[in-house]
Amino acid sequence: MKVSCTNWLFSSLFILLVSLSCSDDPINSNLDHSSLRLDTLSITNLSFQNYLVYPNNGSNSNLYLGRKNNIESSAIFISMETPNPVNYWAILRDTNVTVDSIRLEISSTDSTLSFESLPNLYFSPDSHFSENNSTYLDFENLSFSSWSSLGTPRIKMDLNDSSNFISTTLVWSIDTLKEALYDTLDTNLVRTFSLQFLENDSNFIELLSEEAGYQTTDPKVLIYYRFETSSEDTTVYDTTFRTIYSASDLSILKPDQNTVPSDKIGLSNGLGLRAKMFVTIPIDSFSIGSVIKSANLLIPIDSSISDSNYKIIIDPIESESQYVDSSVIYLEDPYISYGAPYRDFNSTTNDKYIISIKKYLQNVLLENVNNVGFKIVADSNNDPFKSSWLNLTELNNKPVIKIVYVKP
Amino acid sequence: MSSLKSLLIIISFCSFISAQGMMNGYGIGSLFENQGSISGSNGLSKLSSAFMDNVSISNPSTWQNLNYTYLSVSYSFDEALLKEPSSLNGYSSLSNISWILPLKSKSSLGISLAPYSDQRINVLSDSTITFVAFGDTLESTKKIKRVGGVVSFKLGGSRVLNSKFTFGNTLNFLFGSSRNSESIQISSSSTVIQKSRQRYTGLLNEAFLSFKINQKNIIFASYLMTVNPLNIANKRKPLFDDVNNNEYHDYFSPLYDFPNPDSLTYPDEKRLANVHSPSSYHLAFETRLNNRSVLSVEIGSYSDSYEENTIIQIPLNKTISSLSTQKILFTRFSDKLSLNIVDKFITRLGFQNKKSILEKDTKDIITEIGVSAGLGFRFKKMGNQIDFNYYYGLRDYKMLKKIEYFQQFQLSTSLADLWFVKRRQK
Repeated sequence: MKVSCTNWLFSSLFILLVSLSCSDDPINSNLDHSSLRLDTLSITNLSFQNYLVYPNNGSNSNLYLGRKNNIESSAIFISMETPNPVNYWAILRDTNVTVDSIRLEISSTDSTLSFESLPNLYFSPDSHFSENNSTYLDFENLSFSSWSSLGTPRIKMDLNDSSNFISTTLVWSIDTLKEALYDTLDTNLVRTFSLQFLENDSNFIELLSEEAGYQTTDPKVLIYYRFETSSEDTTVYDTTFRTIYSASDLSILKPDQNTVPSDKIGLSNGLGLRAKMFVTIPIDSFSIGSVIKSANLLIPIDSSISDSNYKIIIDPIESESQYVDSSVIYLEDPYISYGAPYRDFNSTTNDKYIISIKKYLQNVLLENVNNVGFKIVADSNNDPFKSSWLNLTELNNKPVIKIVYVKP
Repeated sequence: MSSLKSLLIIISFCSFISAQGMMNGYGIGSLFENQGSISGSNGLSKLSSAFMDNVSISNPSTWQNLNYTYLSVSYSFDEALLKEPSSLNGYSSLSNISWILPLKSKSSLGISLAPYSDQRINVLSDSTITFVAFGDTLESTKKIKRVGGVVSFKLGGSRVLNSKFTFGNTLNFLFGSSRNSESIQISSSSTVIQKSRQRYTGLLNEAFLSFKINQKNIIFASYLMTVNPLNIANKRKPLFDDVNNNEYHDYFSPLYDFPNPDSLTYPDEKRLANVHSPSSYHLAFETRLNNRSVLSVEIGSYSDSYEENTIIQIPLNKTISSLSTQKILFTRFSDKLSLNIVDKFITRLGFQNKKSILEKDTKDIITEIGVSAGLGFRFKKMGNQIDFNYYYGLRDYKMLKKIEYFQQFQLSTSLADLWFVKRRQK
């Protein structure tokens, strides 16, 4: 009797504990008293100013040679450094091997390259350029008279199994440089190659730079050699090759900056054309503690003179190092910008450029950053011969910042 | 065996059909004293005898009638079901711990720890707000979530003044904290959340008096006054966009909440005085029907002289400013001397009617009726006791035209012992 009574009691308790479990369903009610509110704000008083910087195209994934759109690329420079950890250049002086040939190869995605439009190759054992800093100013009186001329290349077409085009490779034989490429007496040996058209004609070619991919399409030197290995009763001759990839490369762009329209705001790497946008942010219009849900800058693009799908970077300016005169060409950008995380990019559509500036604006409201303005520059990977121009003349289609925010 | 089956069916049925919740959204939350029974060993009674003959756990002016020191622990399961749209809320928690020490039947001392108010509520806006932003139609829904509450630590005692009058008093120290989360979700994007944290302090005093008219009839009275109104230290945290949807303002890969918590300056804590300043009185008349049964009637009136503020977000935007209560209670106590096991049980039955008025100058009314049934079982020589109490009722939110069904199950264990008395060596 006692046992069954206890069982009865504990069974009841167990059922109660299980059936009366916690639940947390929301209750539906009028929440108009909630202080959180959505609001919008448009800022239209945006002003723009162009400024010029000497163009440097070092981080572009292509190398250009020739003239197009009032911009001339007079030469391409490629430097080859000593590979690490194994110095393959030493093969050239290795008495245990026989060097069969040395080749310089540069790839291109252009299937229409012809023998008539090929550049001449030059070699110098000295340093001639800085990939990130050199501009055409450094090569005003460029002469290849002291360089070794290596002639024009042969063309090798790479096709896949279905005979479809993959790439074109320009191949130069540089066997004559065997001694120069590994000169043990030169303590400061920098192997610089340069490409230039022999005649200043209307040729234009695009090649792949070392930034285009990881090694496979980089400009490179291939050393083909053979060696023998002997055992007691056999001697084996083996042939192989080693590849040395370029360390840096650069196209020297010289724009005709007289052709840049002074009444338009444009962006172009080849022209060295950049812009500053200034906007007065009405901080007092926001309630204290507001959170920006979206803040999109919309700039109309003049589609009649602009290239579409043009990648543009916007970067808030932290400070101005000097007064910026739009008629002066600057050696380096005069504006010091914040960079990450406020720097952002997007591509233009046919007629507009839209980008989010939410992070920066929120931090302006929080007084964490200065509101000096924005630097607007073309992405370094854009075709330097292309450009994008802002359309600031239509009254009903003005640049605007559209902000949606939540106020507490 | 058939009785066991019947009980299981009844309990299961009750747990599905009935249920608690909206009251948590008013003011500082649902006051536990107004939520149902205070502890399983007291039933619905506040003043009249219910724990055992001539003793109520919640009335210090009866504590000296205990024969031993009691440590009583009560656990409560609460559920509320709101219909159309259906919303079920339920939770369980410790509802009371009391330690009562009678001193030579002339006076007593006691301490207790119990929830004072429950603020757990999750309110969702009943409509979607449409907002047109730059040609895009955005739909937003709002939510207010509050967790936490106020706890009360009571220190009380009693003193027999003469053969008719006994005076009792409790000091009620209020403390605790809650967290408020107010959010807005815009279309299908992430939610923007405003969080705040409140810390509470306050002090109440309640005086009790029992007047023994004769051997059969007793009148009990109590009066609650505020010594220090409930103050709040409110820390409002910055608004943020909960991109990773975890309801915390954090900055972990791959989805970062906006803005970065490190970029924000956190505002100072603000102190608010007098957010809750209650006063109440209760009267009870108890009459003995026979040597084991009592019938009592209790009435009570409560009012809150709070000061309105715009800093603390009240989920349902209203506060209960006054409340009146009427109760009818019947208790049949156990017979210590009987050998019949049925006589070891204490039976408690109760009915209560409540009317709450929201805000000071409106006619928003909430009515509540509920019935309660409880059983207590005494065991061992000293009179240890285990009690169950079930309370079921409905609240009618007249201004909202909503009816809420609620139930409460309380389980209480009381251990009796001699304290501070030197034991003889066995």
